[in-house]
Amino acid sequence: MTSSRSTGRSADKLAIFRLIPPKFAIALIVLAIVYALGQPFANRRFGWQLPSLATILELNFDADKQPESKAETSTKPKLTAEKSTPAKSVPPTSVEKPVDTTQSTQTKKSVSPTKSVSDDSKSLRFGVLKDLGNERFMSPAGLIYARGSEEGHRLKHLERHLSDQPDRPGSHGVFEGDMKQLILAIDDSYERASKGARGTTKRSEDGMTVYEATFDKAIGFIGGSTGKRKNNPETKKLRIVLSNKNVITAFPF
Amino acid sequence: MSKWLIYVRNCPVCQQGLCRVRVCNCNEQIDYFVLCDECDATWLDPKQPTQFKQCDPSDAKCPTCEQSVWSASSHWASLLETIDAGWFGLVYVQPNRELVEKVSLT
Repeated sequence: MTSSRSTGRSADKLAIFRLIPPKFAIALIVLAIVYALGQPFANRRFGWQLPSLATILELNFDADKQPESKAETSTKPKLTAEKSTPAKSVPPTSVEKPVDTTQSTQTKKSVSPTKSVSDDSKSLRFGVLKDLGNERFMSPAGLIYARGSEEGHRLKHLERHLSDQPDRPGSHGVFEGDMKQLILAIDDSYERASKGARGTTKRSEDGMTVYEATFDKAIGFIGGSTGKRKNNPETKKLRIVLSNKNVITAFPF
Repeated sequence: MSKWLIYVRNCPVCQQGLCRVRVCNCNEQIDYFVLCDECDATWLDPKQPTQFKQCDPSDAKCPTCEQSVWSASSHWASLLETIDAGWFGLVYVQPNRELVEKVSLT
């Protein structure tokens, strides 16, 4: 049933190409290739959040398939950006692990929110954080994001690590992905480091605990002036600073 | 706010934040301390970066008066204030690009 629908949809798309003059069709294809090649570079170089070509096509597909998801995306613009990650940027296996543990029967299509999460997504911040009231949010792993930092809220502070600050002295870890992926990566690191898993470390600093975890693939790059000097090397490591279960900060390093 | 980014060193706790000089007008008395702009760890003495004070996860506080470091009575130190604190020899100074653009040499 589904395959016949998708076959029909692709046939429709091909019919559209037949209507377009060959010159324009070729130009469109060339533009698409240029965009596909340039998008990860532009995101990395300028800190933009351009969606990948696959994501754009996928979003169109979702829009056709699930009209009810439109309301969700319009109320929560961040959720649309959640899929907009360069293919190389986030290690899907590691980052999505926490979600897999809560929902074992997960299809490939539903990327990270589980069925129950998507049902409750209207009440979940970034699709994963449970609102505890008083501007406090809890992640699936039980980490708390509350008020604090110069930005006023820890989540706002974390957003700083989604883009580079090339003039900042020293290093500035930049996570290549969106807030939801960062939060899930933090959860994953925390859970692995708490258990003392391989590739993780944990140290206590007078009330604060610093966790470090290595991922299978690059999760971001080193920005700031140090990163700029070294041509922004990629990194697979994430550091989290916690005070009990309260997230103070987290960043790739 | 200062148009200079004034910092003592990289934070020994989170190892990425900048330990910057913060000024708090504690009960009509000016107090200086060092605050990491990444993890909110605070120090009273920039010469002793290992003796930091644990931050309150919900709101970092001035080590002296316990007011929020992000309250209206607190701000990042200017060059003159850093000199006044007697810490000028301990800090690195570089233009704060964001602010320099806003100030635009006025």
